[in-house]
Amino acid sequence: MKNNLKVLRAMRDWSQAELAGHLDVSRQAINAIETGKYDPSLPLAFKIARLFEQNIEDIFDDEFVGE
Amino acid sequence: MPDNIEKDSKITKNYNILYIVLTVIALIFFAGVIYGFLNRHDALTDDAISDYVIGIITGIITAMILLSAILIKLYKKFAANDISVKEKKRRDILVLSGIAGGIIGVILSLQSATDKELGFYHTYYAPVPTLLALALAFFWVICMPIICYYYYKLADEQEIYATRIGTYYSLYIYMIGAPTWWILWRGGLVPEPNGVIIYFITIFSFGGIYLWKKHRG
Repeated sequence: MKNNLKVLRAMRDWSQAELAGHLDVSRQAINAIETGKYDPSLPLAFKIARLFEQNIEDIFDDEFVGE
Repeated sequence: MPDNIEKDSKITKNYNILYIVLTVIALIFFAGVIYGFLNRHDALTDDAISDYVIGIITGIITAMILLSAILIKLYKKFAANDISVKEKKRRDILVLSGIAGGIIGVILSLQSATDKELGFYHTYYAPVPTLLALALAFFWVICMPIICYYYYKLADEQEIYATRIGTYYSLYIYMIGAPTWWILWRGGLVPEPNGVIIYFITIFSFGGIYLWKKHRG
């Protein structure tokens, strides 16, 4: 799933390790989420949204086009 | 969007882990070559080892010393990464488990009764002292689940995801590979299925797939 986590992290000048520390996950988890290779669970997605004070939909894009 | 200097060297850190794994495998391989050669030499002849062979063994030992130095340097680089306390604990559990596995392997090799008839499979099938067998069985049945429990308690969701995917695919490799080997053996086409080889294929499949999912996605 596409996301702008890297951008949000860059705006706070955090490294992946620092963001991982805030979210209590590994640096590999952050890297995998940023590169779209791993989709976070709902609890983690909510944690990310709260940390950056944004809605989940503003951070993650499931590329839904509509019917 | 402000410029941001990427503080993490993702590729360097991922390759660090790969280099560590490859260095350890190379060390085990070279140790096995020396041990296997000396064993076969004792089994087949009473002659002294030639100077030429001593030279080769010396070269291999030198290479192993260099590899050990590289391994220590790689580990220091790896250990210096900015990682959380949980990740450090997990890493330490892995390292200690690896060392324990190595010690167990050395003890088994030294304690296994010598049986020249078994040839290549000597290390796997030779008898060991009963007390040693009980001690190792206790370690695997009692200690390993406890170690695994604490390891996965420290794992995050991406680690658990990589482990789950590794388990799925390695189980399929086992479920398809083992009966295939078995039926081909019954058809007289291949040697009899070997449980130890099947075990290691399953374990290495899991390890490879887990590492890929963990670090490359």
